[in-house]
Amino acid sequence: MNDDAELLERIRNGAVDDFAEIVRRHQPQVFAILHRYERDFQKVEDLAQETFVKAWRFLDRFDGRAPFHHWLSKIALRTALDHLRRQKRIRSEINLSELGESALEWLQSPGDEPGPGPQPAAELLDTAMRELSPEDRQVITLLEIEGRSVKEICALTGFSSAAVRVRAFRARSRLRKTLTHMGAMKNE
Amino acid sequence: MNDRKLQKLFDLTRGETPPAPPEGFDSRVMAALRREPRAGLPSLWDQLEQLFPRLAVAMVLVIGICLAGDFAYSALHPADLTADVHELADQWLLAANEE
Repeated sequence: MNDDAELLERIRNGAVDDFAEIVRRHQPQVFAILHRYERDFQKVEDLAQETFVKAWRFLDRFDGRAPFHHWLSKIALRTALDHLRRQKRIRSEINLSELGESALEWLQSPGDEPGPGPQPAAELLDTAMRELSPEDRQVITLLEIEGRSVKEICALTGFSSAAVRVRAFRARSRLRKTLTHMGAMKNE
Repeated sequence: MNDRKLQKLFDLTRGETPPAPPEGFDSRVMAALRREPRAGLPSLWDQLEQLFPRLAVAMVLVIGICLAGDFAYSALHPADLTADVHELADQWLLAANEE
């Protein structure tokens, strides 16, 4: 099978249908990125479509210096950031009813009990992360959940390394406060 | 909520399996992009637009430096209105005498 560069060259020369192959190859990666910022699957699908449509529109601007999946990741992250900014204007309050009991109980437990499982943990973290600015949320997600290095985050987001560190520090501190507050809210 | 517990939450979240793309997602994208025109190479204007925040900050810095320089110069060399008036008057008087 052709590699991305060859396929992209064919698309640029008019083989529009070959873009479907690009979509098939990279859709798991795009869904995985977007799912970190949106839990509603229908919305993830819409955002993934938006990402690929943007990639298509700006395909001539892909210069091939970095791998295609890297360029596509940047578009997906930018799409997620725009989405978070739109959501930030709508969502305002923390709603604990969206969360499972196991996650909230773990949140309140004083010791190092085993966690609530990946999905409830992700839902819990997602709820707390709504209190962060979209940019801080993106930085802490890339750093702590995707396990990217500061250098990679700089390349993906355009922030300086100092800005990445400051945002990560601020996000951690805000998350600790929000999660403590959520634990207290359950008792009320 | 301590650091260890927060870290555990990150670790647990990392273990979550992302959702698989739905069947026929590629066809949906293809249908959408047939309605989309392809953008050409970025124009000079696009490149300037991309640089806009940095350019704006640089411009503000330059303006700030100019203002600070002007204030500093004014503080070191206070304006002497009398001397300026004398200088002007001398020039006019000389000009008048020459005529």
